[in-house]
Amino acid sequence: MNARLSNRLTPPRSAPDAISAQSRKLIESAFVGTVVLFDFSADIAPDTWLESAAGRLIEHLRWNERETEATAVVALVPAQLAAEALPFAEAAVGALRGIVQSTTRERAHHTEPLNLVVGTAGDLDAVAETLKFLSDRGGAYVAGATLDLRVGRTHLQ
Amino acid sequence: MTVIVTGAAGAIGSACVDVFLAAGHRVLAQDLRTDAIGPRDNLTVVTGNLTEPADLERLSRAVDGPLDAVVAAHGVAGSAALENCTPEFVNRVLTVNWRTVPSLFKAVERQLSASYGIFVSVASQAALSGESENAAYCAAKFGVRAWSETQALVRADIAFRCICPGATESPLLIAAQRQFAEAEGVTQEEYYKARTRQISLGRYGKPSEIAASILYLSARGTRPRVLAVTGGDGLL
Repeated sequence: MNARLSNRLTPPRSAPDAISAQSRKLIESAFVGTVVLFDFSADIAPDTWLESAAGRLIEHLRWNERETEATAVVALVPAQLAAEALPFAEAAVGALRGIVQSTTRERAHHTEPLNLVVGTAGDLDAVAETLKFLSDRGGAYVAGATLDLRVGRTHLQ
Repeated sequence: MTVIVTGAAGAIGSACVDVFLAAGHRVLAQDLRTDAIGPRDNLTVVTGNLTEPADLERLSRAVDGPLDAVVAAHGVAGSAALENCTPEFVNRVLTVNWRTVPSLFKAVERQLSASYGIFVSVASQAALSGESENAAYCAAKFGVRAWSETQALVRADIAFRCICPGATESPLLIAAQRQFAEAEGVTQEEYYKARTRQISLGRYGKPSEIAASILYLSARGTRPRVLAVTGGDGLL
C-alpha cells in the first residue's frame, strides 16, 4: 500500500449510526488509503443489501479510485443471521467480491481494491490488524484479494 | 416433469425449451417478448416482465399441477468500462440480472417446496472470476451464485443449482465481442481468434450445450451446486 496516502473513511449511507464513532476511528487509524465500509445490519431490508452496496461501491470506484492507489472494502456481516437473510448477505458480499476482482483487472495500475469480510463490528481488532498489515511493507503485494475473517464461524441462528 | 424457463426467447432460454420438450417435459416459457416462440405440444407461453410483481404472480398461476423445476435463464448484457457505469446503467444490470432471481424464486417458492423441486440459476463465467470492464455484470452474477449456493445450504425442501456458462454463441456475445474488438482496435475475427486461444476447446460454447447441462442439473439426484460450463476457459 502507498504510505503517502491519507486515511479517508467513506461512511455508510444507509445506516449512519450502525458503526460507533470509536469503531470507525479504530478502522480509520489502521489503514493508509481509502476504506469503504458496508454494514449489513438487520435495520435494512436484506433483499436490498446487494443493490445498495454494489451501487455505492461502483460509484465510489468510478469517481474516487484514481485519487488513491489503495481502497479497502470492509463488509461487516452480523455473525448471527436468520436463515432467510443469510443468502442475501452472501449475495451482497459476493457482489462486492466481483466488483473488486473486476476493478483490479481493469485498473490494476491505478487501484488496489481489497475485500475484507468480517463478522461483526465487535471484531474490529481483527479488522484493524489486517488493515495495518495491508498498509505495511509486508502487505504491499496484496491486491484484489478477498480476506474473509469469518472463516470457521457459524452464521445460522 | 413441469418446468418454468425464463428468458425463453433468448439463446440459452430457447435452447432450454428445446431440450426440455425433447425430453418429454412440460414447459412454461416466459419472456418479455415471446413472438419468436412458436406453439408446440406441452408448451405454454407466458409473456411478462419479471420486474413486475403482477407478472410474476401470473407466471406462478400459469402452472397447472406440480412444479418440478425452474430455470432462471433471463438476463441482459452488462459490459462497460468503470467510467461508463452510470447509476442508471448499474441499476438496470442489477435489477434484471440479480433482483429478478430472488423475486422469481419468491413467486414460485410455495410450489417448488411442495414438490421438493429444483431452482436452477443461470449465472455466468463472470460469477467465477472478475472480468475487466464488467463490474456491474460481475456484481450481479457473483451475487446470484452466492445466493444460490447459500440457499442450497439453508433449504432442505428445494434444491438450488447454479450454472456458470462461459462464452456462448448468442446475440449478447456477438454484441459484446463487437464492443471489445472496437476497444482493442482489432477486427471481430482477430478478437475471436485471440479469445478462443484462452479456451481449452478452442471455441465458444453452443446454447444447446449449455441447455444440455441445465437439463442435467434439473434432474433429481446428486448434482453439483455450481457447474462451470466454459470449455476449459479459466481453468488453464
